Amino acid sequence: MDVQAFQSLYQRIRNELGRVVVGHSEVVEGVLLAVLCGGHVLLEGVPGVGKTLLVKALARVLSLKFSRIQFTPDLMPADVVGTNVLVQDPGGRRTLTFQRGPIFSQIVLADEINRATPKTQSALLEAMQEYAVTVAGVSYPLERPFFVLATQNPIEMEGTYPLPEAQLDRFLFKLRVPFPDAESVVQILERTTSSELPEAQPVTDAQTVLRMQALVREVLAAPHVHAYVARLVEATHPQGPRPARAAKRWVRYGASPRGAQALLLGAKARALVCGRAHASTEDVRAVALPALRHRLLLNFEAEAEGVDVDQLIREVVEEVPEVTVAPAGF
Amino acid sequence: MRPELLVETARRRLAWQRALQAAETAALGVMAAGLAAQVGTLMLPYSIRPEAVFATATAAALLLALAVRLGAARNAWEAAHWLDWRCGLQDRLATYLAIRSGVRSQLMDHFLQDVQRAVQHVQLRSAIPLRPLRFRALLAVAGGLVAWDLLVSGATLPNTPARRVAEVVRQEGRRLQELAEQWEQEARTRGLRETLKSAQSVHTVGGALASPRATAELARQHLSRLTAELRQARARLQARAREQGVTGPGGVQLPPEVAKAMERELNRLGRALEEVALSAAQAEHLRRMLGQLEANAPLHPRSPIRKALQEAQRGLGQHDRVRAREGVLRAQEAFRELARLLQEENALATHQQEVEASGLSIHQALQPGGDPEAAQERPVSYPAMPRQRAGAPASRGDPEAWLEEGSQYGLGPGTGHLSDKMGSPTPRLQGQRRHEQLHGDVGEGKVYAGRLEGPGLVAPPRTRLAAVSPRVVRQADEAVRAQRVPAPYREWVLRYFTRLQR
Repeated sequence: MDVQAFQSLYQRIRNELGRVVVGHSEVVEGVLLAVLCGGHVLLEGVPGVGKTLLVKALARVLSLKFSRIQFTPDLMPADVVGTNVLVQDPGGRRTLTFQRGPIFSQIVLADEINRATPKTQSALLEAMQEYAVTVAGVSYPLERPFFVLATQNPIEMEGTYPLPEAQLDRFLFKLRVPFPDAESVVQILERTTSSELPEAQPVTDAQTVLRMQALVREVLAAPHVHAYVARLVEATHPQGPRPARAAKRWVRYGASPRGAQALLLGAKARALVCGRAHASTEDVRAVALPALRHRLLLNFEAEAEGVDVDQLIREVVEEVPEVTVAPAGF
Repeated sequence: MRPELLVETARRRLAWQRALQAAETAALGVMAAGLAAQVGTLMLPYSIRPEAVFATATAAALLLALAVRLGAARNAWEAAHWLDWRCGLQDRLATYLAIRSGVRSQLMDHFLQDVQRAVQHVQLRSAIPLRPLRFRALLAVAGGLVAWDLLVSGATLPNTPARRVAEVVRQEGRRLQELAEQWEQEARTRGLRETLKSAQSVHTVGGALASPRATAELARQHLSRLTAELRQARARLQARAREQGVTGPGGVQLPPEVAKAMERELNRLGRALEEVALSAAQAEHLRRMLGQLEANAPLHPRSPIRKALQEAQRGLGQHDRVRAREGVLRAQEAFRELARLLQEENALATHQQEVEASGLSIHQALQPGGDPEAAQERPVSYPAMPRQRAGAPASRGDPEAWLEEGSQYGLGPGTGHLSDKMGSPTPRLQGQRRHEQLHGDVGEGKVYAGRLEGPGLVAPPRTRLAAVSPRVVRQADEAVRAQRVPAPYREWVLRYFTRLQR
């Protein structure tokens, strides 16, 4: 697969999703970038804005197995990963057989993930990081490609369990799904209240998605882009040597190295989507918000002041200059 | 164009652009500072010329441009980064420089082709323009400097040091004008052409200083130029006086009393030689008198006066009265020329002294601890003509004393008396005099001047008006100049009025 083929295929996927999902172009592109990077996505938005529809359509367009898990307070880890059940064969012999849970899919929609207990939430950790689950000492690999797209409601906080930082860090992007504008709502009404509901058609398959992911990792990135990513992540750390002013004031703990990886991978995917074989600092800036917004731990003062983390990241990006001094080797 | 070549060209162009911008910044900064300094002349007593500001700005711009060009060499990566940013190349060139020698792959080939396509559209002239970016600001500031100099320069705010110094300058200008008018009248009366010319120059400078826009710097320039001119004119006169016979390298050394005595002696000899018949004893007596006069005259051996006197002696020795009389007449003529030169030189020395005094007064007013009011109150001096040299004895009572003293004349204490005082003493003005006492060593401390204020007294003139009226002399000058006097008689007419003046 070359750059043109990649770009063409991406555009077809994008158009097919656009037939079903009205508006939310930024969210759709963010989800697709994450898919191309092989990362997981945390979708944050109020109910009814099309999160589940987007994930379902994506699974269909990419011809991937889809499962949906509705996270509730009484959901148990076994309900997610599966469990060993006692099975009696016709001969009367009883054996323990592993009953696969809904995690054994390729696109898993973890709906309202913050409603489940931390114990259940952490059941996703191994799957997201290792692409495998272990039950009773036996490890079961997951089929690739594997994506977790979790959703959470930012309004109803009562009876919820905020995701721990370790789990948040495992999401490549966190995307905010805003309420659609009036024009989009009209289009939604037109499409969903008629006799024929739009349905996405498969455009590609799992193997092609894997090849696309491999191509993303081959995108060229010069040392100054690496240095810029490192500098950007470093600037989010208030205790670091060169913190940004905003980070120094509002942030308790900055982005992790995973955040830097997310930035560079996202930049590479964006470069390919734009038809380029090299990542630029502009690509890094473009993916800074979804890659960093869930990785910054705000301090008490920021929480009290209601500081918007997106604005904070914009200020950090504005403050951090591009690498104007020649890197080593020049 | 290959990307490497493009980046290298951009690197050189970028270095020049930075140098140009630095020069522009330097020039703009210096000129802005100059404009601010010009505004400051409203309050502080200093002067700033736009030419000096422009010269400084140019020098600063050149120096800074050179320093930036030589010191801050741009490397290729920075040039590539700059081109990426200016031309929207999305890090293509910077990435190219970093990974051009990497492992070839499908994406690498695509990238190299992409870079080759992108650099074809790069316009270096628009990306890195080599022209001043703030040319309008430069023009505005330069225009402000010139406009200020033309329209506002010399203006001062009330109750500021600048205003006080300006008042001193104007006062000195008025003083020089008054002096110059007096000198002009005297020069016309005495027929001193060089003095008249000098007085007119002083008058012109005084007018420039008295103008409302005159600055201390302008005054300094005028006064310096005038002083130099006076010095040159005096040097010319001294050279001519030396040609006429006066000795001494430092200037004229013929005191006025000596000159009067010599003139009187020459006149007496001339009258004696006019007699038709001279006895041998009379001729011998006259020859001895001529010899004594020639021997004691403070003139060098090549002096035309001395030669004429020697010729007259030889004439008397050969009993040739006519030859002797012609010699004495030539000596008289040469002596008159010498006396005129000495008068001119003395007058110019006085002019120079007053001009330098004005310069000193303005200079004192400009000093940080200076007292402009004290400078304003400086008493105006009007030195007498001809000037008395320092150390010269006031031996008015014995004009022939120089004959005995010879070259030692003027080195001893004075023994004269006031025999030329005219009439009774002038009635004193009825006024209040403020007495001041001076303390400290000579040459140190402040100089205090008393001011005498009182009503003027009406008194009859002691000298006939016609004898000193410059109007008469001026009318004679104009008549001669208008050619109403026949050309052969002009010299005689002028000589007549000159004698009348004396």
